[in-house]
Amino acid sequence: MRLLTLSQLRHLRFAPWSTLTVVLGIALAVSSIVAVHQISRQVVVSLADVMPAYLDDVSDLVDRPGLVMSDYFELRERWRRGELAQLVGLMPLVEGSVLTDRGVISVVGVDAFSGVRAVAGLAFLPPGTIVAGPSLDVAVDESLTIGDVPYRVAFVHETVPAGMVVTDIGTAQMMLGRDDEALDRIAVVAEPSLRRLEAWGERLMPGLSAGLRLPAWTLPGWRVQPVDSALPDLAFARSVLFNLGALGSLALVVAWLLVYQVGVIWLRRRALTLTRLEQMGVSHRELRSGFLSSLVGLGGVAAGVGVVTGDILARALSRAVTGYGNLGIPVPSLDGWVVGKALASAVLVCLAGGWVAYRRERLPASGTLLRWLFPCGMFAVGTYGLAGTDSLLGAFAAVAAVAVLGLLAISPALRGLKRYATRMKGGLLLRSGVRELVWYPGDLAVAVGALVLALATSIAIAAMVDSFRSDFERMLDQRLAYDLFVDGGGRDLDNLGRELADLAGVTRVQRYGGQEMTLLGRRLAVSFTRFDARESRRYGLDSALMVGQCIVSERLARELALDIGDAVPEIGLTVAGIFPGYGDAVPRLLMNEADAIRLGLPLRYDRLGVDAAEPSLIIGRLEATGEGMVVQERTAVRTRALAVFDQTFTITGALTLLALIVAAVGLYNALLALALQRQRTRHLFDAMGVTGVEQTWVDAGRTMAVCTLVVLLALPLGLLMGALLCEVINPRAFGWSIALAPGAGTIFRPVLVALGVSALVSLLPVPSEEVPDVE
Amino acid sequence: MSPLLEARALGKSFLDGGERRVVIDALNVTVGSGEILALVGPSGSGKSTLLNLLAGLQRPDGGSIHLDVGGSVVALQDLGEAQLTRIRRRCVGYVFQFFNLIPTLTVRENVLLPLELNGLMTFAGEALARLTTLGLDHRLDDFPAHLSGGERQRTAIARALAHRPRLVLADEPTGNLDHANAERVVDLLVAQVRSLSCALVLATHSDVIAGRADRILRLDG
Repeated sequence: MRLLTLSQLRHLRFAPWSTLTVVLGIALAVSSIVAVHQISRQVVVSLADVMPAYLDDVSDLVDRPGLVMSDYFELRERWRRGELAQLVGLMPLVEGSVLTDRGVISVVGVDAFSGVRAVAGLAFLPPGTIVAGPSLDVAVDESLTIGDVPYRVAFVHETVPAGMVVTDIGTAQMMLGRDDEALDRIAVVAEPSLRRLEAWGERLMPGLSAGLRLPAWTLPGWRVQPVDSALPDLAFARSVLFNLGALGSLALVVAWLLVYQVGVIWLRRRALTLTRLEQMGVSHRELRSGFLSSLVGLGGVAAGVGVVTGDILARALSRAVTGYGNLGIPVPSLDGWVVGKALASAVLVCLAGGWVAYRRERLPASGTLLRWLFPCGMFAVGTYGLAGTDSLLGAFAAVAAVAVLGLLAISPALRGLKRYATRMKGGLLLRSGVRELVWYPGDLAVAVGALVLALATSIAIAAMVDSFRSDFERMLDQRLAYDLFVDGGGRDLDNLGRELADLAGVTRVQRYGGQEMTLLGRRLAVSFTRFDARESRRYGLDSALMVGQCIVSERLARELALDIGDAVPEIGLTVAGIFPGYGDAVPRLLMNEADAIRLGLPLRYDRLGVDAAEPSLIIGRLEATGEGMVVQERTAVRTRALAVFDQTFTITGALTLLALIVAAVGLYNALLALALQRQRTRHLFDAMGVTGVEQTWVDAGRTMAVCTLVVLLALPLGLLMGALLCEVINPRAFGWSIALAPGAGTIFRPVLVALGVSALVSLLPVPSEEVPDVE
Repeated sequence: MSPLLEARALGKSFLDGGERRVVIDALNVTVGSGEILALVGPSGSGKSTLLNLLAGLQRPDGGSIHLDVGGSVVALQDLGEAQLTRIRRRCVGYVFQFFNLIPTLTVRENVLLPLELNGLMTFAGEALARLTTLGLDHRLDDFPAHLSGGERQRTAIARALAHRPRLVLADEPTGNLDHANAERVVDLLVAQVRSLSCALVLATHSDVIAGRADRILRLDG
């Protein structure tokens, strides 16, 4: 056995170039995985603030219409009697917003003695005192005043989110002007084993929980909402991470194809040796073990390289997108999870690729039934992912199934081409070159498949990004209806707005106010202003939004199953329009000032839109008077918004490029194998007096043929995947849909990439030491 | 018989494991127009190397090779790659022991390839008729993978002669065939070469096959 392994390892030395391509391909794929993981960890750390400390251990929030404190006691009684075995804790919550002497704040009241870990020290809080977060800028023993009633800050705790105070239930009810039976929700801790599983999954792949919804826990007569979906910005961020994770895995899939392809080439070169060993009584298990061991060894080396380069890539990408997120924290150091994940990915790719290659080359072919079952299974997965579920993972499974079905079509397409090639006309040299390409369709299919997969993904993402950018620009054109935009950073700008309106040259001042509220257990951002025809046009309405009407973001419409003409539950406003709301982490609802007053929202205006003959004069005046106000001109807002948009997709572009490079390595391997097969033919051509130029033309023709084939296959597949990204992935991940409108660049850019990759690969030299098996 | 090819003081050596191994040393060879010369010698005696030198596929370390290319005599050792390629294309036909045929071209296409390269498609009828003479008329549209060893070598002969070269070089053309097939292939090769009055340099292990030649040159390495 030792000698068998030695023989296999020596083969790696005899085939150094393809060995190098395997290491390179896997290392790049691992880099992709590591880079995504590291950036995701960075984002996860920055998300810590999003999850309030009092919800840290909570799994779900439950409520029902007309919820009062006695409902909580009834539920707690049932739990104590052991009727609710899946629960390990319950905590009543009172939530709301209130105007204080320091602006509008959110108030959360919790029961510190309920057994659920909330904010440290809360149990010792005297009535009438509160816990504030550091961002509220109040010191211990200072007070927040509501009306004439002061509420003393007992201590400041860093885990309390910005703009919020946490207190006991009774104090919260007082602060919010509610009676002592008032209750908004009950926080519960349920299914701890599933929660642990989810936490484990999140460490393995940040964002996984956005795609993989655990089985819903139900409580008859109650509405149960997972805590993540009650925190839309957390769900939004996890969706972004899941998308990145899925894209980061693309390079790994392409690397699998590369390993499989190289495995096939190696086994073919060693076919005679392996047959002789079989004749000597060596079993398939022993041969396969030796073969897989050598691949796993390479995988280990590649994983080491990939971890280092992936970490470097993560830091570079993080710097590139700093303008967008400005996360303010560095990329975390490598930890055991990421190293283990990298190693496991590389080993898995090597084992899976090598196993399938060995099975194909050395074992009898599998039955026809299996060959049919696989595509049927993929079709079923695709159909279920699109129609049978609304989960993000289902959507990605559908995209993957479409891609696999597309790849499965490559081999039959190549066989068809082979049949055509045997009848083709034209110069004999050209015929020979083209036929060589399709002579072994099974071999080329893998390399072409890898490139098609990477290119189709590139086309899909380009189509999605182009369409998204086009919709985004259209949205900006609609929204940026004023010359200046002023953001008061929470400060009331009502008086400033009136002053500006009186200035010469100012033709219009539009005041905006808003706050967060909870509707059917969902947190959403409510904005109000005076909606006339012009303001309504900003959101795509043809006429002015009437009192009693509202405009909702597509995400809110989707979550509450609202359409135009429907009444919004709990507040009764009629939906008059739906807007995309690109980039909004939280669902949004817009209404007239009159409706805000009717609903009891505090009329504070913290943003202004201003039309002025000379905006620069206004900016100067505002900068002189306003502390901490952000004033931006229309063009600056537009430029910044588009810059942010482009930066956002920097990571996406880098990951797609990585997958393309891995695919190019695979294509190089395929052409290398082809060139090695051609060495004898080339020698024959030399003897017949075929010039180097003529042979180069044949090579170039073959490259063009590969390129044409790849583009022809990748284009429809990519556009189909792009349509799924726009119509399925985006709505499920972020709540908005995009109209697929691929521009010419969407098509030409990837075609140029394919041309470049094919040309580069064909220009690379065939290493002379890489000779077929000499045993 | 006027000399078609004349090599003088030919030398060739290779690096083998860090040591220089002389394969051909001060060898003189003359081949007359229409003459059949057999190169006989054990493995490693330099037969294939000599053929490659005569075809301009390798360059000698020393000595000269002069070839009559039709009206003019050229010194192969002084020519560039492009000129050597042109001469091989027009004046030389080559038959190898293995892998003679382009696997992705049919029998017909393999034979027509030298004619297409030389712009001599007017010879196509004659070249295809030779395939009938060689017993391959039922194999015209088959690819090499579907041919027997003998059929492949006969196709290779038809291709080597298709453009009526002045010199045919055959490197162990029967080494891969059984005795009966070997006899038949050599008979056909010699007959076709004689009918076209071109010269043939034939490398072989076999004294029987060498006996068909006008002259034998023994190489002993």
